[in-house]
Amino acid sequence: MSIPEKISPDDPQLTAYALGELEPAERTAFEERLQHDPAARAQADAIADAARYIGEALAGEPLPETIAPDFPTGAPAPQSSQRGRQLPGHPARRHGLGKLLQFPYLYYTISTSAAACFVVAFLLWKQGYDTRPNVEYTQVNLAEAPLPAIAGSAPSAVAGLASRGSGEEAGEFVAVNTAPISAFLPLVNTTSYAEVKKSLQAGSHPAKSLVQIEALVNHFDYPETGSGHGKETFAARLEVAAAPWYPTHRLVRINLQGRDQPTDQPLALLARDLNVQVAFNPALVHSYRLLGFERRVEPSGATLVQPLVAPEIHGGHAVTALYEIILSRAAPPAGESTGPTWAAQEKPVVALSEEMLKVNLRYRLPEGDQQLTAEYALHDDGRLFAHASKDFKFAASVVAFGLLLRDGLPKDSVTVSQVEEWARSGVGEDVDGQRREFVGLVKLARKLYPH
Amino acid sequence: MKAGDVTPPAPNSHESASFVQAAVAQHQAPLLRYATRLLHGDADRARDVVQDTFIRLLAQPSAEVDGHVAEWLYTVCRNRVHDVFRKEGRMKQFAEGQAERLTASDPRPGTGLERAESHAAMLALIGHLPANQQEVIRLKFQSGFSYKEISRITSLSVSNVGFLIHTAVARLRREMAAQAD
Repeated sequence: MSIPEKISPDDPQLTAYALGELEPAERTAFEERLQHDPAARAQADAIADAARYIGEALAGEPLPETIAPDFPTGAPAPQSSQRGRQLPGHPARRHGLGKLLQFPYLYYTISTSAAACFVVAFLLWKQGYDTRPNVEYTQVNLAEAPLPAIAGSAPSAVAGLASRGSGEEAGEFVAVNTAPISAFLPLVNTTSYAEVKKSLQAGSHPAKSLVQIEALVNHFDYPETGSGHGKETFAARLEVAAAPWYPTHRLVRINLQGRDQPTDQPLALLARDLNVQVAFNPALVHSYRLLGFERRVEPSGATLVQPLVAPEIHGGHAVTALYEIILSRAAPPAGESTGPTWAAQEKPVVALSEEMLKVNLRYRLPEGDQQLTAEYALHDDGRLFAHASKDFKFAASVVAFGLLLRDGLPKDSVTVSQVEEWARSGVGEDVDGQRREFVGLVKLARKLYPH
Repeated sequence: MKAGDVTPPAPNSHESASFVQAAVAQHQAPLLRYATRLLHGDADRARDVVQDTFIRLLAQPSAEVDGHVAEWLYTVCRNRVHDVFRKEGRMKQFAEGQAERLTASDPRPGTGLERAESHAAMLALIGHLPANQQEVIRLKFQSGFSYKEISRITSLSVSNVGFLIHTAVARLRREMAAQAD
């Protein structure tokens, strides 16, 4: 078979390939040609790097001010007197009900509820104010709200609580405006890790229902939080960096560690009724998704309702949860980022001084009824994935692997090899060899994905 | 793993209002940015167009736009801009030609690339691209649309979109490398 001719640098397929835009058959054919053309292969890699950098630069571009000046404040907006121009067909903006009638013709022409018009007008106005910095974020008085004992399909007792079990589909982002507070059960059954491992070692793709992301993540220890020798009942490590599979999204890792209890105590109970909630700052966060912790469905089809309070926590208990965050002011971007090929150093995507989120714990001591609280805040320093801790990189790789197994390969060219690379970068000391074992499982999975 | 639109709730009149609410929250500012560029920096007119776009969204049953709200918004917005130009007799607005420089800052002349300015430099270069290249670059890398979606939004063929993006990325790479020297 003759060697195919070299790929011209002007061939747009190079960019289409680098961006994951080729159809599967085209992609396979193009890869075959790249095998014989190292210069073209290098060019495709360079294009992918450039695309990532372009995405980064555009994500940081300031957004225009939103429509505040045209919206009702009670006083006339300063610009409105200068605006003589009307869109064709709009009646003149005389204001009977004040400037709320930004869309007066809606009342005459659209049959959907008038309430919807007010909502849109009000919210467009509100957006203008919400883009100011230093907004106090929603204060929910957690100490007074009842513990959410059962999460059902209706919204929980705490206003605005979005808890696993409250009806959203697995993997969907939740807008902070809808639900500024999230919760997860701080007690994870990790047996699905062994099941997934068994499947992979047998050469088959694990069933989707087996792939429980929080179970995979929590199978591992994360020693960087520190062992529980301190006086505090709980210690927390909160970390945020770019999500490696979508670098203009932030990835938050929350690791809670309970203090070790002396082993001569029977049961070594550390705390009771532990509940964990995460409150997001709407000035910084547009939407979020909790990775894992989905509702389970029973064989009968009924959905298991899960309480969000862990009744008993023993000494040395640890739990890790990860959230993917879409920042406010950023349009959903494309591409990945590992930094530009020409810049000497990498610039963080965002640099923020406000709190991004707070983690609130509530629990009781083993004896007595008094409820205690602990709070931890996270500031985002804008770091790239490459600058995150090893624990972070490793946990992120486990999440990515779970998402891959559960949801399949995404169009935007995240590959199993990349997941393996992320996992390797987080192996660290790996005293018990578990992380290296995981890297081995990822390698096994490559056979399940033909490219 | 790609972010989609925030899933709107099932349609009824109260929830379709919150569906539009979610769309406004997520897309209003980026859509304004998109419209401002198409209108060569005319922010006032861009606001009118974006308002009009959301009004039209309100009139849509949410089930019809569910799952592709962003693409719908950008397409309608673009069509509205085209209507504005046509009404005012300015044709050929999206073709090659001088693009307005709408980016925040240019790199200082005569200096090498410094870390703090590298993004600003890239933004300036993007701002210098011909209007049609700049539009597809932003739709691809800022708004996250696929080639097929961009083709639908702009009414260009997919191969035309691919060619424009390839050309623009090659030019940006060349220019950035030249600045780094």
